[in-house]
Amino acid sequence: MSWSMLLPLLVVASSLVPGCLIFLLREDRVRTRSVLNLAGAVLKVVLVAAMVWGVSQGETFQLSYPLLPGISFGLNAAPFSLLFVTLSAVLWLFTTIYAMGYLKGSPQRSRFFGFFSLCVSATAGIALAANLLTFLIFYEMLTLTTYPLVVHRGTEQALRGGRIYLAYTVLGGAILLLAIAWLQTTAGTLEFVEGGFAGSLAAPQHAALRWIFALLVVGFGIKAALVPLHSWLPQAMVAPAPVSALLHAVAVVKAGAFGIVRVIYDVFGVEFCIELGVTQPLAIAAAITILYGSLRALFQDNLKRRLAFSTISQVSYIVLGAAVLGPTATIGGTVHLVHQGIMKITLFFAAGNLAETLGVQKVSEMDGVGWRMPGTMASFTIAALGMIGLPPMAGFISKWYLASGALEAGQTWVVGVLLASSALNALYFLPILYAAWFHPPRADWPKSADRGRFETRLTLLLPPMATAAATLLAGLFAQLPFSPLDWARFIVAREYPP
Amino acid sequence: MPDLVIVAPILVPLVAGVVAYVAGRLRRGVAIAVAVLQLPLACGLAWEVLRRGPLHYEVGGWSAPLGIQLYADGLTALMICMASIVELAVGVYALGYFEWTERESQPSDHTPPGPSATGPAATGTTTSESAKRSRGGSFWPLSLLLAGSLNGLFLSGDIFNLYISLELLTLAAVGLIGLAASLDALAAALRYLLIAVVGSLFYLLGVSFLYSLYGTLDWQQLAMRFEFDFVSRCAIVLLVLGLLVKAALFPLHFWLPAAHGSAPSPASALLSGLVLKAAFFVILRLWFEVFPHPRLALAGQLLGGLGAAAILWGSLQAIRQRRLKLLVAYSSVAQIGYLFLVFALASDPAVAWNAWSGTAYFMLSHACAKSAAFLAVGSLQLAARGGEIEDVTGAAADHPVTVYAFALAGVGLMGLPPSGGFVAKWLLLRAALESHQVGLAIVMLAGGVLAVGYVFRVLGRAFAATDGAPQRPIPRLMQWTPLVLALVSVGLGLVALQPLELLRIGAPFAPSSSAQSAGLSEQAGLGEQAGLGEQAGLGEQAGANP
Amino acid sequence: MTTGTLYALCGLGLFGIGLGGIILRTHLLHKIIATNVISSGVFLVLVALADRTRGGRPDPVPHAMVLTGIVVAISATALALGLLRRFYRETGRCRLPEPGSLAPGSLAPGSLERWSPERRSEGGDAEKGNAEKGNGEKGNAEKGNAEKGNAEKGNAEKGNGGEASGGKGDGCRTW
Repeated sequence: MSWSMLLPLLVVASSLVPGCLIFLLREDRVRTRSVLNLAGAVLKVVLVAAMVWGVSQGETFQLSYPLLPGISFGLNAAPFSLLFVTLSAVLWLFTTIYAMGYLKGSPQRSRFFGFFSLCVSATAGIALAANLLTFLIFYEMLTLTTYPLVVHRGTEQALRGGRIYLAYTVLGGAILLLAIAWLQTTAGTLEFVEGGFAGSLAAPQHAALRWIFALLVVGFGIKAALVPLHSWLPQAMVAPAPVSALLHAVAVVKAGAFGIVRVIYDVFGVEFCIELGVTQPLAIAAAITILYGSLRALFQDNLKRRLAFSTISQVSYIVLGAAVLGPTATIGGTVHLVHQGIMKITLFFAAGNLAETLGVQKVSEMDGVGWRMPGTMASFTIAALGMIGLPPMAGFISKWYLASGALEAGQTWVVGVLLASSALNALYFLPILYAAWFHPPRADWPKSADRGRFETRLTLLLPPMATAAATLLAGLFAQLPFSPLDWARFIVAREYPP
Repeated sequence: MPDLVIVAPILVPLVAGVVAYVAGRLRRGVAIAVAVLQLPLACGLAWEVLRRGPLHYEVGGWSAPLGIQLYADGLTALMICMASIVELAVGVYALGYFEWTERESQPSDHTPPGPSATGPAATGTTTSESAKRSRGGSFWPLSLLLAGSLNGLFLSGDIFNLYISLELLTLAAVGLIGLAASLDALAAALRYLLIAVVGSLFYLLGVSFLYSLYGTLDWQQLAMRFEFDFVSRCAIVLLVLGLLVKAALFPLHFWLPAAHGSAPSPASALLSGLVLKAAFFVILRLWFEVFPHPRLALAGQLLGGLGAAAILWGSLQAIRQRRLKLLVAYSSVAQIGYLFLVFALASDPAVAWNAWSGTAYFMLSHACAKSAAFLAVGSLQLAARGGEIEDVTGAAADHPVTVYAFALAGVGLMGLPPSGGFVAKWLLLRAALESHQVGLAIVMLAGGVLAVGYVFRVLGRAFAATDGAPQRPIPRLMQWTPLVLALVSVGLGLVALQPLELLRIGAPFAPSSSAQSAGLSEQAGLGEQAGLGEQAGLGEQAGANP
Repeated sequence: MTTGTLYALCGLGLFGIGLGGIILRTHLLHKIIATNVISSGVFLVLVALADRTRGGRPDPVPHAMVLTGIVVAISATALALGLLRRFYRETGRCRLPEPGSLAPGSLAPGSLERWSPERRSEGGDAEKGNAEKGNGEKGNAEKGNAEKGNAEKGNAEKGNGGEASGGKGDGCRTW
């Protein structure tokens, strides 16, 4: 087995193996657990970096293992895969550090970190999957491994959230399985191909292909929280903050959006999608989701719920970018996969810090909190401004490319949606920022935890500041090589052959 | 040597069973040694079959019709491997289980603590006290008898031998159920015995009909002579009806939940994992290799429909149960339904191989997954001092290994990738879609979703926080054996090619013939597939050289 | 109609009678006898099959099958009687509880208590109402003997199982 075959496997295994080992650890082996976790996370980042470098130099990394006649387990480091796997590897590192601080002294940490690592392995597998079946394997693994994280607290409310989460995602998995089996029956292959493989099928099968497309989009749309399949996401907010960060920014929701994009580009192909006329309904669904999520977010007083509805809205930008079907819009959607990830994880880290340190969970309790926790709130502010789409933050880049791509493709209405959504984003984020910085601080906070020398524990403070810095840098230095934008262009150049 | 390979799987456990019966304290050792030995024996048989094709053997050199014919093809070898894996795991588990239950002076995991166990019922208590002491011991000879008769059934070359081994199997199974000291178990054992005996007699009557018509018992000769007249049809009805009762196909499943739910957990694992499969194996063999199955398409549809009903009914009942073991038992009712779909699916020759091999693989993976589930549940309820689902609240904190074992077994039951259950379900799903039986495909998927429902009913409680007293510790053997077996059931999804290769030997359908009969469109599809692969490769290269 | 056909038809008739018995009768001993009637019916069909060679020597294969079948039937009957004996001793009843009462709800901790010997008088079998805990075994001896009589009648019908049931009959005597 050569290096080029081994590397994708190692990327998946670098979190899978530590995860399995962590399960075996006794609860009090904190140091061993931390070492395993961090070693796995750092190793994964290094391996992914090696793979990114290799692919940029024209190397290919792929691996295939036959499962059944005609069906294989395959990993392939396509550029788009790398974008997602890099995002998940880097954010996993930050989230692990954050989770260590967040869960300090709480029970069942071996279980938590074990499933946490498995969850990231599943995400890496989703990113690197070379065909739909491999994708499904890791997709279901993701569902199963996130359930124990969602119900981690073990309260009735957590169990209820877990049940709803499970019901939705399992249904999605079953729909996907049906679609994939149908596709295999119709097309005879499931391998992702840049430019898609369904386009070569004869015209009588187009009706079936439309159904398959719809089923695939519904199956992935459940995890991507497309309206009206989104209800599980706010319910899953009962999970601990690092899990929410993982669900929203790194793994679950992203996996759904990533799946939809791969279906459009690598299964059906852009031109064939236009021929079938399936993307316009998808674009409309995405637009509705964007507006609906933003509108609902306006009326949430619970900070995490407001962020959850914001996620519903923001993730659909990715889907919208793919559904508008033009190179520029695709760049916008693709790069938003990364940008939304780093911005949203910052917001969740910050919200977790507020809850953990001060017991602040509601927007109405946030008066003056900026002066009490300046580092956390500064990060929050940067990310929130990015979400609104202000330059020079990362979010601006995504929205700019989306809007100009929509104009390029002649879909002017999309610009309207984007503007309306930005206005709504501003409406639900700016009051928070105003209250946090310009209202007088409260005298008594609901809770005051042990915070160490800084405003809170260092392990809680550093991750949001780092991701906030990344938000700023991704926007400022978008033109540099290996920036998310640069990589998105690289991907799109291959998806839209001249 | 080949003779030995085919006879040993029957002879070794049967002889060991007798030895174990008189061996007193050594019986555990004998049983475990045989269980360990059986695995290489089964692999040896599989290897011989792979190397030399189907094996025939006449016991004692007596030829048909008076002698006993043994026959081994790929399906047989796979089933014997399945049985030996499950028996080994159950045997190891039982070591811990019976030692522990005897030490805890609680004769069965099903007898709730309370006045009934220690009450003043002098006669009743002394009986169960004295019975208790021998109870764990009786498990070993009975399980060996079960193993021997099971292997005998899989290896049978004639339909009368099948009857004998079915009956032996029933007797061993009834004995195993009766090991539990509870009255429910006793009642369930009696009910099961009566029903199974009647089922066997139906089968025997069918056998006598066939013999009267064709003058042979060898099923391969029967297959050649089979005609589709009235008496033959009556015989088919009698044979299948008798076996359906034993295989517990909905709506003839009524005896199953009580029997499997009240037996001691290692016995439940054997019953649900293996004994049900035995009856189904006979139907599968007769239907596709003896009966003129293309002319039974309507009956096949009926069986498939009952299978679909079983999936839905069993799953819904499983979700409704309050007791752990009944939940798992009803899950068996549902999973048996998947097996019967083959009779509806394989009526289309184009998809017959996928349906048939998928079903065989389903038997294998379900045997591992369901046994693991029963073993895990057995540990959980012993640890929790009660058999209700509520009782496992918080078990994930005290017994994570067992809970993960149940979860992994659940992955197999739900048919999620990459488990063996998924591979089987995938093959069945492909068959259903290609033969345009979309309804069955949807039922299969719905069954998977419902399975998630009942598996996570248990897991949800296990992950719940509790402030109650910590659960009792349980021996490591009882924690890790279910996990290993569950891992096997999941791992089966990754090594499906070799078992499928084995299954092709002597199979009634061949994958190549299915491709041929599918006609030109299929070939065109394949051609396109190859073409696409090349294109993809070219695309990669082009992209790689900017 | 040849003798063989007549035998076969009689066998089918017995099969039907036995089947009716096992469905309609609730007493477990009756059910066990009914299974023996069924097996007798099947054996009779098999015996009739020996005639299929028409005139020549009888076909030996069905004989072998009947002999083997009898052994199997004996074992099953013995096991059933053994289980029934234990069931009777623990519950004082000779009828299975309704399938519904084996449902999860009624298996709750009370189930053993409900059936425990000192509560026999509350049991469904009125004929055992007088049985007390201590002399329950003796008190039912008569009943047991009567049932044994039935068993022997059943075995007589079957013609072959007498010895086996006799062997297991030791257990019945302790009733």
